[in-house]
Amino acid sequence: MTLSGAFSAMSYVLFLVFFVYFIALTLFYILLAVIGLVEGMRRSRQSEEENYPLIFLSTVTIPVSIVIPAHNEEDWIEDCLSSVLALNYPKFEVIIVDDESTDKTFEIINKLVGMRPIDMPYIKHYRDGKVRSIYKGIKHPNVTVIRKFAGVKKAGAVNAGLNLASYDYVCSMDADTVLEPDALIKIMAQVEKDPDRIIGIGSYFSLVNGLKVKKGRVVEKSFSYNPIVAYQNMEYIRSFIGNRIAWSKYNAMPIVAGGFSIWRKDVLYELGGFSAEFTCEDIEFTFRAHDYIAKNKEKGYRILMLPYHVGWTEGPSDVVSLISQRERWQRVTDETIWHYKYMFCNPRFGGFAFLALPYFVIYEVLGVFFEVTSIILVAAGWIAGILDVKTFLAFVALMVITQSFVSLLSIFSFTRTHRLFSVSYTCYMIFLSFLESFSYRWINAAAKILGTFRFMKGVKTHDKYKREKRS
Amino acid sequence: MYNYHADIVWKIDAILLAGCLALAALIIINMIIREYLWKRRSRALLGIKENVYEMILSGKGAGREGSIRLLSSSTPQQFLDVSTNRNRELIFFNDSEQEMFKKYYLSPQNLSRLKKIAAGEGDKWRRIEAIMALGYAGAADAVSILKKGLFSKNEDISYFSMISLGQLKSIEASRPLIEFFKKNPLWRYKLVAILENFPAETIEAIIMLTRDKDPSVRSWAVKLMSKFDLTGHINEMKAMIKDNSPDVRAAVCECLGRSGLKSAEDILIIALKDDSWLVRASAAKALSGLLGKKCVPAVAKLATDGSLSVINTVKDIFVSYIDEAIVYVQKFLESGDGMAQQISVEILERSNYIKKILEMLISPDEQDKRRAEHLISGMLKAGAHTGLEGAVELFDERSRVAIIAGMEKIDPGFAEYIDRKMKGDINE
Repeated sequence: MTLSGAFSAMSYVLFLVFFVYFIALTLFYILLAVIGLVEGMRRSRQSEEENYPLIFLSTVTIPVSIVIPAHNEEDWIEDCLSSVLALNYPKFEVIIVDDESTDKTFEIINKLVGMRPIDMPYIKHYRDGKVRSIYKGIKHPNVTVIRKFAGVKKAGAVNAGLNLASYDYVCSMDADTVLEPDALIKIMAQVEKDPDRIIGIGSYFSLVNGLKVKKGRVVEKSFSYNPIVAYQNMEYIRSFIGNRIAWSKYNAMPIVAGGFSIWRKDVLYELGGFSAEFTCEDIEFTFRAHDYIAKNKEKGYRILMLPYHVGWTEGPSDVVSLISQRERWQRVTDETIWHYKYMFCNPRFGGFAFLALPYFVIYEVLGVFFEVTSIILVAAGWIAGILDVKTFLAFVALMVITQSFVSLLSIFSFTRTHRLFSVSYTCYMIFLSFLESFSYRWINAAAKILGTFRFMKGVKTHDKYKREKRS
Repeated sequence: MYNYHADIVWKIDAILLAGCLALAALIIINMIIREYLWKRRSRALLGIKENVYEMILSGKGAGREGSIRLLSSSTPQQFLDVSTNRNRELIFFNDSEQEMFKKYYLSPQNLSRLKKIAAGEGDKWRRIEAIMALGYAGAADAVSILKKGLFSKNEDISYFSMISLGQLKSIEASRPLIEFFKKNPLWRYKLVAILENFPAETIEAIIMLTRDKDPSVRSWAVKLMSKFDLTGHINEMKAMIKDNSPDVRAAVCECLGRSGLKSAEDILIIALKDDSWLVRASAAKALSGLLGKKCVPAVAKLATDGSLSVINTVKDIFVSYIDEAIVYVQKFLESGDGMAQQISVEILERSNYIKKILEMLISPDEQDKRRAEHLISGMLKAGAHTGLEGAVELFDERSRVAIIAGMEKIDPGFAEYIDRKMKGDINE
């Protein structure tokens, strides 16, 4: 075989690999989107018909501890806390963990809840860092504030809150998240159907960027037309509605996002709380929970993902911040998958090992390399005169259209169950979906490559990205 | 040059592109239709509200017949919208508006239509709407239809039939629910929430469940019993306190605590010595519910229990009845046991007793003063710091000076620290 013959055979094989990758991915997404659509519609109808006053007035309604870790959150904490205090839920406590803020976070909390220092035993069940002092709310006695020294990442701050949590379910949320008044009651209505088996729950939230928020309530839904924000809104839909609802149906949820997650406290206790050994804590804990589920198979534990819109969170609004955030996400994904590699296609872990994990490895970890390499090879082949222009264009078109198709499928599922975005904003997202492969996808790809590179270097810092102040 | 089946790839591209365009069109059409339907739903509800007002205001006026016709021709979805205010951001109906609407909507024809849909095998969610509407309508004669739904293989139909039966709150409705309670382990939590609102006579049927073989059924049944009047059932409870399952015994304690029956005291005192921590904690909590502050001497014995849950229960009781518990708290502060000391500080903190201690410290009564000194000394040894500091801040300038002077005798270093802090010399 001549050198050019060998080269062409190899490029043909590569072509087939990439071709199969894109087609398989598209088919897989279609399958997930269809399952997600059916399940999402069912959950939405369940919520519409639910008798919420029954939950509100019942003496057996499950109380919830809400833990909010905060480090320099002066621009967001007031809205976050106001929204939490305004929740339509009969019994809950709020534990804010001030993780050595150097700005006015603590003063703002004090203004809102009126704090007095207290002495109380603080029993360390979880790794949390050194606690400086504990305060109780005067205006809101269900609020406790822990001031601690930083150094054990967000995981340490959440763990500090867990040490004081009194109720059986713990909701961990970010300090830049604003909750909808019915967020907790909608989620707990589902938990109360099966509290013996449901150990973790997540739900859909979207970006607050551009919206007008007053005292924890979104008063004007003026969604940002900044493409970076709009693409993220689309990505959240793709991820939460297009994927995770389907994973949840088969108890294969790979991540309960830290922005809003509810876990059963006994499971948190059994597993030793959140780990600070990883860049972020949410994905790793979800994997550990799957390990726990497998070890206690007879109990039939479940992790749920619900399509209910529970709130709004702050997202990056410029390229640099976006790369910083996504690089961190990629790093923690790599770290977690590497750490839990024994789960991969291991029958002990059921659907999670055979569905969610391979998807995560192929798409979230290796996907970026498939995409970038295929583009480079096809372009190189065309430049070198190996490929004709027709093939080159056909392949590029396949990548672009596949991406759009997947996004549109998720948007379709979303609009069947939600009335969140206006028609014009949805049209804008549809338009952007056709351009994603030429713009946003490359930013994400760069972040993913950087994240993988930093993972290999062993970087585990939780770098904060720049967030815009709210109007 | 190679084209690597470019034609096939182009064909796939064309199919996907067509799919994309179709999806984009579908999304937009779907949104427009949904917006239109939403507005129509909103308009229809507004129309109902206007008609209800017309009924209230017009008396026997000319528009009455038309209004009745319009109200009675509403859909089950509209009935639920009005009865439950589930779209309150759209429109809100107050109680009298709801009553007026129900009066005209719930005609025999409409009820029979609802029953027909609820019993049918058609569209699942249409059926569920009818099932829920029957519950909100208080259709007592729909129990058999709802029972059929309750035992349906479809989870959603079963669940919403359960909720709907719960709306009826009648003995007849309780029977299928209790039967279901026995058979379905998943929704017992929800069933307790539903059945706790049922009439007192329901307890007779619930008692049957306490004889079930399954300990989970027995314990949930006892938990449910605690929501009812237990007079006349104390003997059943006495028998159940010897149940093999600690869950059942704990539930019995919980139940007795809520019963208000003085005769339950002896049973609970014995349960304080149970082998299971769950039962001991439940018994302590129940005694506090039953006896109030008089329970303190009995539960104080559990303050050094091996189980943290039991200790937490005792802690809560001490916080509630601090005046009776202060003798024990003082004893624990002086015990030298680090954990007991910390818990004592928390009790003093949570019960707001620290302020009282500081008042005692500056009181002219020497006995009070000495007691306060003892307590503060114990608290400082237990590591109390910020709470004491916070409590000093609650006093006026003159009292603060006196408190700091009093503290100097106990711990000069701490007194100096607080003095400097109050003067603003220390900033943390």
